[in-house]
Amino acid sequence: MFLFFFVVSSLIVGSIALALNMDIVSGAIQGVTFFGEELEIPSMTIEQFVNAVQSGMAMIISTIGLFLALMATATLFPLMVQKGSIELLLCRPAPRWRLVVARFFGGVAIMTFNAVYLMVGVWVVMGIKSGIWNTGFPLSTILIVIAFVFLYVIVAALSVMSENAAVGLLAGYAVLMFSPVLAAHERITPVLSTELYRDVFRSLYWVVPKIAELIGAMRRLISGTPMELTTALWTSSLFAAVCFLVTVIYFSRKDY
Amino acid sequence: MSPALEIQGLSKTYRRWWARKVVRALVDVDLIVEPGSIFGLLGPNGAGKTSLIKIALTIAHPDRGTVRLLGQTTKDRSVFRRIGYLPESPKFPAHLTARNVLRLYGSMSGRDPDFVRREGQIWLERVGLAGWEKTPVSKFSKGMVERLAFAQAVIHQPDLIFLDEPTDGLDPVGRMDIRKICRELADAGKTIFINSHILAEIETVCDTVALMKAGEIVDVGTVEQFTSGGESYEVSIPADEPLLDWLNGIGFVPTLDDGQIRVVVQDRNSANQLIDTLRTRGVEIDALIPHRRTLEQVFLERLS
Repeated sequence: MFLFFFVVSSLIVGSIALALNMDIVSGAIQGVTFFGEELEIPSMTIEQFVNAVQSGMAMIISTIGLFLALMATATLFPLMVQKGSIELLLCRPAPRWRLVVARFFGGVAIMTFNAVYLMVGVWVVMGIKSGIWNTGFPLSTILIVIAFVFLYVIVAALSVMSENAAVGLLAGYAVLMFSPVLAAHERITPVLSTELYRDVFRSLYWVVPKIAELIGAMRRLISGTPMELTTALWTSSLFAAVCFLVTVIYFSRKDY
Repeated sequence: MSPALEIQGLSKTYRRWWARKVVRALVDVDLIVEPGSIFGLLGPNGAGKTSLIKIALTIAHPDRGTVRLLGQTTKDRSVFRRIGYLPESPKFPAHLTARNVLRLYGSMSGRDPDFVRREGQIWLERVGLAGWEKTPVSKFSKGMVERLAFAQAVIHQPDLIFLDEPTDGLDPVGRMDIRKICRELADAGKTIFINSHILAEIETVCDTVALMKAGEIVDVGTVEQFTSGGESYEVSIPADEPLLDWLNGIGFVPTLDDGQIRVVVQDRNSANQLIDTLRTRGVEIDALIPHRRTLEQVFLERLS
């Protein structure tokens, strides 16, 4: 899992380093080739070009990357609680809560290392090639990791309770895919037919982690536009904390 | 010296609310295992043997009762540094090598890396896995996994070792190796708690045995206590019709089988008396076979 991410990240960084060539004249992009193929791009400054590439990269990593990261880490908990394996862990001096915490942060550490490696790698390569050092791009890694933590806490909870990776993974994917819909609650709520539906929809927005907002904030951070994330962060953090606490309590009380 | 394992009033009922199913796994179990002994827990499938071990090791929680390991309550988790456990059907992370498996579990039991590295090599050789140190466990056979699982249970030099079906999947040589190691560990003062349904194995290796049925301890005693009493002797002589009638006439119950007369008597005196009588009549004795009660017979009598 770790190696898979590392190889994919290295391929992306290596491709940009070796295969992307930019022809810059007086701060404006005159032409771009990728693997020797000339790309058709509209007229823009080098800063605009780097910003566009980094925004695109961030969007890809925050959607496909999160999708793959959840898939790669989803089996960590079911493998831990399977019969024959869990007994070997629970008969040790470490208390149960520490096992859950260690597994969870092990998964987060793998994801964080790879996200930092990829984002900082792309940032350094693009910086060297273009001379544009947009600090918003590497900083947006923090938002990707936070989004992963919010999703992974759901995957972990359901994987521990169901002892099945697919159940946790599906729940994580459902939140990831449903979050843009919830993010548009201000436009969607008024068109719902009854007050009950409107209340349920609004409640869901406040309860479920706001992944779409975090992804949107990444784009704004890279482009340098102002962003307001406080509400999204504290409500999602509260959800994650409660979810994690329930997981720890459930695991501590469960008979294996 | 406090008992290695002390269980008092342990009860456990498993409830599945969606199926409205209630299984009473343990019913008011009291048990004491003395240090330095090899203790065997016997019982049919579903008797509650594994539940007892799991609750003792806090893998499952009891409804009632207390467990003390090596004189300490299980709430004090430091006692688990001195506990080893080989579960039934152990599973290790598939990507780990045999050496790394021992490093992982040895470290988790509180031993420092140097100790684990040194002991790991010794135990890999001891259980017949020398040369397999760098092989991922995903490539191991069931018997090799079982050997490795035994090694992880003892690598940190625990004082109390729980073995749940320790010879499952092992060939006869492997079984003998494990029995030999168990005896050596017990001689070195370690306490071994074996859960098995292989009666011959328990009879060979255990000092004390408990019989368990439907969540209750039915009886506890030494192997000698269980198998003593009920011995018999079989005297075998060549078939002869008048001899058969004569034996019937003096109160024996001979049977004719495969060209031989067989007479079973219940004690040594009767056997000697019968032999003397037969010899005075000039009858040749073909065989004298002592029949000892086996643990299997005891098991079937008490638990079936």
